[in-house]
Amino acid sequence: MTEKFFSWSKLQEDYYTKFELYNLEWDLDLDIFIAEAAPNGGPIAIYRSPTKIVIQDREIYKGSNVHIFTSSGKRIGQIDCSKKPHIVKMGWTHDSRLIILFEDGEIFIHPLDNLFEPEIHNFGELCQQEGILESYITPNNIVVITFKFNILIFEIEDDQVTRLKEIKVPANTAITSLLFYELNYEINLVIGLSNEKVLQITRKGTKEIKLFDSQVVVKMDLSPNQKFFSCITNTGLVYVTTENFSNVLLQFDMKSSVIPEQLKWCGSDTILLYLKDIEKDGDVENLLLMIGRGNSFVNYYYGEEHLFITTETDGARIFSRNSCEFVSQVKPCRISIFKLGSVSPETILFESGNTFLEKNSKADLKIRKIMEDNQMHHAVTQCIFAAGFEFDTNIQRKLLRAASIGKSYCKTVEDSILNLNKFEEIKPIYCDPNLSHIHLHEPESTNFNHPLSIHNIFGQMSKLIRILNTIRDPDIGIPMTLPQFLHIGIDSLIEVLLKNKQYLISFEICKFMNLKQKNHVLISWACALIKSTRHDDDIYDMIQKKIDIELGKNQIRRSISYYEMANQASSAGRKNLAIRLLENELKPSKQVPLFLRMNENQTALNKAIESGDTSLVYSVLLKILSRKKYRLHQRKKSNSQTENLKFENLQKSMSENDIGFQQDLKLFKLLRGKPSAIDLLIGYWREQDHASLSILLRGLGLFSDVGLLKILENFSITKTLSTSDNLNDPHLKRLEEIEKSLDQLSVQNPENRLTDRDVVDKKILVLKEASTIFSAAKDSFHDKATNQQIKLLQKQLECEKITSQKFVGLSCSQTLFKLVTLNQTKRADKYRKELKISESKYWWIKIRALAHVKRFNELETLARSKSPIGYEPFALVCIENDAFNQASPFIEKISNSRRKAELYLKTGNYTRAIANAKQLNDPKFIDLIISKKRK
Amino acid sequence: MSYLDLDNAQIIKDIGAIREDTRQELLSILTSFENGTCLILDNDFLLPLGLLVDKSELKELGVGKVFVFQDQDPKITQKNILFFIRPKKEVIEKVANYIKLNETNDTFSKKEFHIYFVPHKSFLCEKILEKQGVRGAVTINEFHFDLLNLDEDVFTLFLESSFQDYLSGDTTSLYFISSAINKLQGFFGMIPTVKYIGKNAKIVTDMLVRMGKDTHLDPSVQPKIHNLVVVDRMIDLITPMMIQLTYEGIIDELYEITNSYAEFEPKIIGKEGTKKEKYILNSNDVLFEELRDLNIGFVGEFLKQKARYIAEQYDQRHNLQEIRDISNFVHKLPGLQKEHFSLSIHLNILEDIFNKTQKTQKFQKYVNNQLGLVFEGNPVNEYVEEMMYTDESLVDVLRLLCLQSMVNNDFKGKVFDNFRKDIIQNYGFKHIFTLEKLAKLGMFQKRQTKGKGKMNFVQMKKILNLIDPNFDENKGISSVYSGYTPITARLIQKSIKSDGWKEIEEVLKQLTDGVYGEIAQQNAKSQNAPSENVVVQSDKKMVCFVFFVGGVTYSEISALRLLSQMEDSKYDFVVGTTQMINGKSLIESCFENYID
Repeated sequence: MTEKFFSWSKLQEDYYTKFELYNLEWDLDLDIFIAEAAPNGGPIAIYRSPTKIVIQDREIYKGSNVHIFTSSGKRIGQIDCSKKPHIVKMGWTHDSRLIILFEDGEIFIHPLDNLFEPEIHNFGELCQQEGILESYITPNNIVVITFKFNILIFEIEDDQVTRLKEIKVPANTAITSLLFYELNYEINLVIGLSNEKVLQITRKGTKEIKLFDSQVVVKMDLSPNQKFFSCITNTGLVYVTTENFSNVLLQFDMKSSVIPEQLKWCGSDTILLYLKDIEKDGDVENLLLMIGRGNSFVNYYYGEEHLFITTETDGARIFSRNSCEFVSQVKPCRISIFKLGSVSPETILFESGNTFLEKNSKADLKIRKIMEDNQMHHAVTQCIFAAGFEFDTNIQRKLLRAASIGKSYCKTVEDSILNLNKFEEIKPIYCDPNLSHIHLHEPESTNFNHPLSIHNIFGQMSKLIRILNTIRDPDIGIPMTLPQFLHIGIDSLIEVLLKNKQYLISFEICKFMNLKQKNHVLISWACALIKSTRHDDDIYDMIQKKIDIELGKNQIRRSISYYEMANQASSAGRKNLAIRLLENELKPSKQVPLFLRMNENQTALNKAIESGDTSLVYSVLLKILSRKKYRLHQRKKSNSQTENLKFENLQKSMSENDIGFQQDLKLFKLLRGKPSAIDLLIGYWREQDHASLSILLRGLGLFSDVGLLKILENFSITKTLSTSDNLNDPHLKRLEEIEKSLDQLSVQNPENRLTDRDVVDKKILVLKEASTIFSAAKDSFHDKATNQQIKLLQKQLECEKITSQKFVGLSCSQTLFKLVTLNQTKRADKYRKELKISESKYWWIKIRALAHVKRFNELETLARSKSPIGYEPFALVCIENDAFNQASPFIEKISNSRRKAELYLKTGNYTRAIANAKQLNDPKFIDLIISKKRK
Repeated sequence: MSYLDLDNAQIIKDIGAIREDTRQELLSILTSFENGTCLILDNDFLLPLGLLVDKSELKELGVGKVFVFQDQDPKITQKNILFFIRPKKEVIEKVANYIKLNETNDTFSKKEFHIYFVPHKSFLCEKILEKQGVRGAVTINEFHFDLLNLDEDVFTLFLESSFQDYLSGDTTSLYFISSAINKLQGFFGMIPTVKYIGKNAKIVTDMLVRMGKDTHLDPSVQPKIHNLVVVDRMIDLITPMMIQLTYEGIIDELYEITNSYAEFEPKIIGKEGTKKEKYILNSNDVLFEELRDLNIGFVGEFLKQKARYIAEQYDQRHNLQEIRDISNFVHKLPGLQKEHFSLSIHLNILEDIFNKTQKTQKFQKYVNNQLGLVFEGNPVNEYVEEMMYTDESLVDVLRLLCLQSMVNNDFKGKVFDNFRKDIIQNYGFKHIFTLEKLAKLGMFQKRQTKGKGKMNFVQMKKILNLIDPNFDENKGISSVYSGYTPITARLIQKSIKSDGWKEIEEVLKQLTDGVYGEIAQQNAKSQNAPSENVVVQSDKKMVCFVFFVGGVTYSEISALRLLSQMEDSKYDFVVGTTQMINGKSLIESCFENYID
């Protein structure tokens, strides 16, 4: 393993490794391309630099397209920008979308998976007018400085442009370098100017940084942990300072004034400089210079190769014509294992672990020695972590094998409980303070901080290594390191993979790690499939088959959102597919609106009704009714009168060409067989729109209900007519007009807006209409009742006139009762006949009324004529009004002795009660009377 | 003492968690406003509010005033006005009008309006607000208040108008029921067996099953409710027409119980003054717990015995020999005193009931007519005519007429029209709608010549064994209506018996139009668990949750309690309902509020 050690470079105390991740076959001269790579081993986007003149036949060198490659050099995408102005700059968002900034201030944010349309934003007029002088792109922000030094910032998440206060810069000054970052929610813009000044601009204002006196800063960069700032000046001095520019931590003299092509951080501990055409042994070569702590440095010469460096949180990737390399610090656990001549327990475990399997007896001894020294726990952990940081699968395997043998020597589970934080106290395995917060955790649990036993760590690490190895495969080409992976988490990894259209791998990882995103991955896959050119039926079958296999035929399948797939299909213009997919959706609240959007009214209505959610049904009904072809045709008033008579033959009498009728039919067809929807619609229109309701009821053959609706209107007529605001009924509108004209008339008499008479007249008008409807519908009962009500209203008006008392609102019986009490008995007698009230009923009313107003003599007079109801009621009404004495003569008239006795008892006339009871031969009854008497 | 097994009583305590949930939601709503709030409530919601927070708490939370929605608008000084309302058209229009009247642009007195829909907002209501042009002036929120327990074993959704809504085809509350039961399942596990009787019950069940699929219930939760029977009120409209004859039922008929409270003359409940006072009637009152399910005819005797018992207990003080006896007695004393107090109140109530029912013989006559009708099929035409002559209340008249229509195979056309005519003449034209609705419900209608295959009530009585004139205090559930067994109770009794439905298939088909059935719900991961469970728990009583869609009467609940007390009963019943009803409230829900 010593060869590993020899490949490392030492910078002071630290070791650095640079190794090839992939051998690239793209064969590109990066000098004539402008490149930008996504973090965490993400893809790289390139486009041909417009300023470089190179004649090449290859297609990629022509045109102005943006090409996207994986780190392994596989082309995974191409964005056509031929019709666009020049590209100013590119960048990547956190979720692996490509940002492209064009000359005219337009911004493209392009998802790689093509499932969604790219977002297009714009910096606006100011930018267009003044032109972009410089720009800088971070994952969250796009900053431009115009030629007039206006600073505009576009925030991607908030989707808005902010303008900073413009800065005053002397004429003929150029911007030599630019850096933008956000720290503690404060934006920081650092500008290097050709007048040897460096400005730091925040929202608070502009500050000059005076650390680099009388030099022009030509390149700068901020470390990924945002703690260190580095820059290089025109005199060849490299500085590293703290992020607030308070301390210079490092000053390195290049002893050359060649301006480097790139200055980039490698992790947060060293900086990389890419310099072109550096003299070496009399030749010129391109140089990658790495500067570390204490001015230590390493030179890597690359001959004529052009490079592109991209910073990672724990290192840097270097792209060249033929390879993609990774530079990073070697983690201490690996140093202690692989360092030349190391005798640490982990080295011993590693070496003997692998010979152990070859049944080497010494190996056992060595392992026992580690045990005796009580170092096994430590050694195993170191091997596990070293495996995690390793890219070479052979060495990974060996490390894990050693750890696996070692861990079986760890005594008990309790002993090996390991809290990662504590473990670090014993011996920090991470140098980088930035990484110390990382905990290895089980992805499915949300509790990150619970301690894991060493066995768990081993298992977890093995799983993670498997995932990392899978995605590092050249076919996928994501060379993610363990710290990067732990940093972004498994969920983001799945997102990244989906963006790279790696559906199968994502799905397998979800299954492997038992992740909830499984369904999400399936949906993304299905959506991609829908975007493809396959036939609808094929797609549907494939999706259903896949879901059947992966999620089982019934139970858990419920939680997958078919809505998303259907939505995708719908926007892709595959309506039939969308409908079929949507049929499977379980959430009606998602399903119904989409059916509606696709104009599948029938289905939308059915599903809404099925859901039982009336709110949803209403939303469908009202939406459908708002569509022109379903709107009910409001016929003119003149028609409706005659229509009332003809509605039996509605269908025949309406000509086939009547557009309104055709429209109505459409609605009826839609509602056919959906009683619950009809009920809801009736309920809604009853409150909102009587005219439409009438048409609907007629269409349903509910003619009596149309009449009842009229009667309902009759009740809503009051002096103020307030409720009619809601009724669109043309008839009522007309009434309103009447009211208005009445209003004008009654200006002199403002207290009385509408007389009682007017109200009654209106009521009668409406009731007459109702009667017409009832008689046409052969509903004789309602017809009679309505006519009787009309008659009653007329009589009541008369009564009010004569007695100047309120009558309207009373029932028939009440009217007669009141008349009798008001000494209008004759009139009551007359009305009784006209209102067709039975004689016996009228007698009851009369005697109750007379007793009520204590006109007992009239009662007596009445009793002289033959009563159709007998005389008991006379007695009863007297008793009810506490007129016991007056009751006696009536009681006498009753023939039944028992009844007599009972009534006498009620009046308190015990003697008469007993006398009558005696005739009954019922001693118990007599006893009862006597007992009551005693009380 | 409790109606439920101890373990099962625990369920009720657990449901306390639901109440606490609801309470916290309310508190967090109220605390989110500064500068004082004023609440305007839907009628439905006033009493439940009292079950969640008390007055002093409301004050602490900055609630200045609480109003119930009425036509006249109250004067309000608070800045924030919170409406707690059902998502109903009529109510939302009132709210819109109120806002229009009280909206000002004056920044100083500007009010903020917040609508909280209980339990869910509705599309239609938002539309109406838009139409009225006040959508911009309000915030729209939800307050997820649904099931609360009225008593140990009774839950209600407080949907006071649910019956009315079904009548007009508005099935919104069915959706609320399903969500509420589903919420319950979240606490107690998925209910393994669900039975439904009637159309609305089926809708509720279907929705419940669909919701159950979409909510991921914790599979490790063992179901604590073993059986759910959803009963549609519409299948039995006969029972509510009957006068309830249990102690609690008769109090409801005469004094109207609302949310466990009834109003009495102050002297009856040991208070002074002239205004009627509220008195709580629930199982915290141990004596009432024993009394409530008794037929009124037995209550007097029971109270007499109780009085004797208490007197004996008091008398023990003369025989106290040792210190231990004395301390025992003193220990018992508070309970005894409490019982004594309660006894005196119930004696007063009973006396008042007798005064009300015996004095004029009207009540007696009414009940006799009703029982004669149901037991023997004796028509009540003449009696009803007489009632109308003497201008008795329309509710009483209709209650009897409906009963006759339902048990005696409807009215002949002419008789029917005469009754209708008389009712309109006597009580007013607006009742044309009342009659329409009752006809639509099948409660009061013309005899159809076609309906020959229909089973009549006489056969139904026989098959279901509904009539038992020799009812007994201790056995049989027919005592709750003095010899008539509520149809619902009988159906539920059969539902929980295996194969119980088979015996009464014909009747079920008739009552429900064939809409009844059973669904086995199973959680995805514990498919084998429920059956094991049933076997293991065979010695313990299981819990059956009975939900009445459209309301239940107190006497029906009593019948279920008696049912679970019967020797061979394997179930404890917990009752859920949309609201409490009786014949009066049911008939009145068919009335329209129009002024003639």
